[in-house]
Amino acid sequence: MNGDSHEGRSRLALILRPLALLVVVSGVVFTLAQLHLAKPSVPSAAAGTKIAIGDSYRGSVAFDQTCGGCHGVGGKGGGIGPRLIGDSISLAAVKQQIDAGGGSMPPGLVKGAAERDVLAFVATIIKPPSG
Amino acid sequence: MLVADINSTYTSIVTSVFSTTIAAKVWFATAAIVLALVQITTAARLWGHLQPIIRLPTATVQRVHRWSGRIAFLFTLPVVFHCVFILGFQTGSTRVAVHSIAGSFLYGVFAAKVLFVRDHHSYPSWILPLAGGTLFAVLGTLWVTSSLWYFTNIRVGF
Repeated sequence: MNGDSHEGRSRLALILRPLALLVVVSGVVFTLAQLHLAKPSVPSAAAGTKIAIGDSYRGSVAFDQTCGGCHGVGGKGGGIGPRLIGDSISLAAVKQQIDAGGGSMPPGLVKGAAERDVLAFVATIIKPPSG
Repeated sequence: MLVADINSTYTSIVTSVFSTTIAAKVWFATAAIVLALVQITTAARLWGHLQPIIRLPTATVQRVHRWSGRIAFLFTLPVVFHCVFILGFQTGSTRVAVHSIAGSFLYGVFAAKVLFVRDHHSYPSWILPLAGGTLFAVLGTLWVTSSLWYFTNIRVGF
C-alpha cells in the first residue's frame, strides 16, 4: 500500500517536474518580454519636435525594404540616395522629403504608420542640426 | 541611461560585423536552425535511423549531437536578448504575434527537453523524440516568422 502510494507520487513528480519547468521558464521569459526592460527611448533627433514617430525597429525593417535600395541598408549610403547615418538634418526636413519627395526621390514612398516607424528609425541615425 | 547604453552597446557590437541588428538576428537564428537540423539528424541516427547515410561511429555522432545543441543554444542568446529586452512582447500582426508567443515558449521547451535528457531512464522512450521534435517545431516557427520572412521580404545579406 505504502509502496503503491510512493510509486504514485514518484510518477506524479515525473509528470509535474517538466511541466513546472516549462511553465516557470516560459512564464519568466513572457514576463520579461512584457516588462520590456530596455525599451528604446525617444531618439535625441525626435526629442522636442512635434513630429510623430513610431517604432524604430519596425522602422528599420521598413527602411531597408523601401528606402535601402537608394540610401543603403540602415542608411549607410547607396548609389543614388545620400548616406543618412550621421547626416545633419532635422526630422522635420526628413518628413518633408518623404511627403513631398525631391531630387530623384518620389513623394509618399511610406505613409501613415509606416512613415512614423521610418521617421523613428531615421531619428536614431541622423544628427540633429546644432543651434 | 542604462537602457540607452544597453541598446547602443548591443547595436555597436552586432553592427561591427553585420549591417543592422535585424540582419545579425536573422543570421544567428539561421545558424541555430541549421544546427537544430544537425540535432534532428544525429538524434535520428542515435535512434537507429539514417545509418546508411550517417556512417560515423556512435560516439562521434553523440559528440556532434551534444555540441550542435550547445552551439545552437549560444546562437539563440543574442537573438532572445534583443527580442525580450529591447523589442518586448508584440502583437502588431499575425506573424509578429505568432513569433512572440512561440518565442515565449522556446526556453521553457528547451529546459523541459534538457530535463528529459538528464533523466531519460525514468521516462518512456518516446518522450525524448517528442521533446526534441517539439523544440525543433518551436525553433522552426520562430525562424519562419523572422528569418525566412526577412529573406523573402527584405533581402538576403549580412
